[in-house]
Amino acid sequence: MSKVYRYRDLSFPVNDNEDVTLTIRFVSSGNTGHTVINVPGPNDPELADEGSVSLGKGSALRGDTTVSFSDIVNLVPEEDEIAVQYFLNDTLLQEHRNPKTDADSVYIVLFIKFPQAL
Amino acid sequence: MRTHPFLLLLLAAAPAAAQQSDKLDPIKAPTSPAAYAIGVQPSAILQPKSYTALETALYSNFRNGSGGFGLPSDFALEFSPYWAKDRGLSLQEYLFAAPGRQFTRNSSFSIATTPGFALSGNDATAAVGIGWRTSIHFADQNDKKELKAYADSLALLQRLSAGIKVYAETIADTANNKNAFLQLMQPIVETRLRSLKIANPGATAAAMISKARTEVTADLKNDRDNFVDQFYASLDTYAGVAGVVDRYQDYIRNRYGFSIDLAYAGMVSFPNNDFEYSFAPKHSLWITPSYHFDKGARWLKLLGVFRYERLDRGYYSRFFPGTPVFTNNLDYGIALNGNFRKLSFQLEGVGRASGTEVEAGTDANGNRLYRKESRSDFQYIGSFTYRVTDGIALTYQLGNKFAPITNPLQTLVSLLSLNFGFGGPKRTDVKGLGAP
Repeated sequence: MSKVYRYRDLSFPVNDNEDVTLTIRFVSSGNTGHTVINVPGPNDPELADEGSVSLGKGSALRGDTTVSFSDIVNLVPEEDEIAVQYFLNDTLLQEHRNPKTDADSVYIVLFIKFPQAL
Repeated sequence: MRTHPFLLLLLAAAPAAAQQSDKLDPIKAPTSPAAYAIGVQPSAILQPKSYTALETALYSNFRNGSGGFGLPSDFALEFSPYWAKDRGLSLQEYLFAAPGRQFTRNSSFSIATTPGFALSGNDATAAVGIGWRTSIHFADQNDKKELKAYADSLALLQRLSAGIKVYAETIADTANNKNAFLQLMQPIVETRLRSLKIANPGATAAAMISKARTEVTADLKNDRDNFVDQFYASLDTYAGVAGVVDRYQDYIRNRYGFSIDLAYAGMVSFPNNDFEYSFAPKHSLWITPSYHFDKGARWLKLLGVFRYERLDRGYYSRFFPGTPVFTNNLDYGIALNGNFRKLSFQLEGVGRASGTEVEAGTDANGNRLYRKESRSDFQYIGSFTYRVTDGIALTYQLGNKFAPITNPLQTLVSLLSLNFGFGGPKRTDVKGLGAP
């Protein structure tokens, strides 16, 4: 059964006109996964495996919490951990690491707020 | 009462099994070549995954009780340098690497030690085994098709999973109770099923929610994360996620097509327990090609083996006097493995050619003369295993083994064994949406 890892109270200040891009990088080898991001409003972006996806302008991300949900499985026998990095506009937001002895199939959930940048 | 002939055969074999104590050499390269080299059977092989873990394993095992350093007893360690750091390989890069890259990536080095290596006088002496092994797989079209089928199945399940659960995380924070939560989730599940073109989305969504209604027992308000985790577990068992992942992982470990394993083992012996007085009397090299048949004969695997072993006759004649030893020993053979549901078999035939040059005096000019001694032998053994349950297997081996050094005429193998194990649920029990 998959193990759930939740990272709450994440915050990334952005300006109203700033484009926000989420980048997922698989650090460990042999991960396969799918991520859906529930942003305020319709048109929730999705990402297969790793890469970058636009979350829209900063002004559209205010108010509600944005939730990113990744379903990740590691299939390589020689790999002993699942390691994934989440970046917002090239800034590391969260790194996840878990030994495969704990779980080789994981759900990583990020709860992100986008307040106004000062 | 009628007795089954097969049972009679097993019962007849049992007394012979009691007399049979010589261990049969497996045809494949050993899991730990270093342990093979010094003849130890460690209960566990340490496999540190980082340089820090490697240092810790070596330091803690080689440090003795008096604060100094010494050889640990029946110690075995295997280390793969390539996997000691994060590589970030995609699954595709891992599965379809060029042979040269696989050679490097799959290389592992092993070391085994014992302070109790017995010479013929039963003196316990120190011995160290060193080893290396690697494997290379050559992907063919059927292998690629099979991997794609698994990848597509898993991708579908992950798209379904993430596309439902991301909303469950939000709804769990707003719904008041289980009924309200499930009522809000049902249209989300149905929409996701429909967008992924899964048949009967309405009925399937209703069935998934109905199953969750029964299985989710945690309280949403007081135990929110546990409630949501139970909901995920219920959806996953309905979709058969674990079964797909298990089968995919198993297939990656045992792919269709041609593979080759290479291994080396060497022994360093310290007959006086003095570091400066040592021998390297034994070197072994394995080349093990194998072919795993696909589709129509996926239950069948063909294995070949070539093992070359070079022994130092001077060492063995000095420390194991009376034991006939040949310098060059070549084992070559073939095995066929099959699995039919509860029944599996292995048929193997292995030839052995040994040769050495023995000093035979000098000629009239004082030049040394040598004569060549050689010996050949053949071993053929059939093994049949019946899995009584998931944890119990009955194995019978019948055949002719290499002539043992101690009793050369006793070559009959008739060995009945009952093996107990502990395993998880049968993979075939789990059928779901993404099964390939």
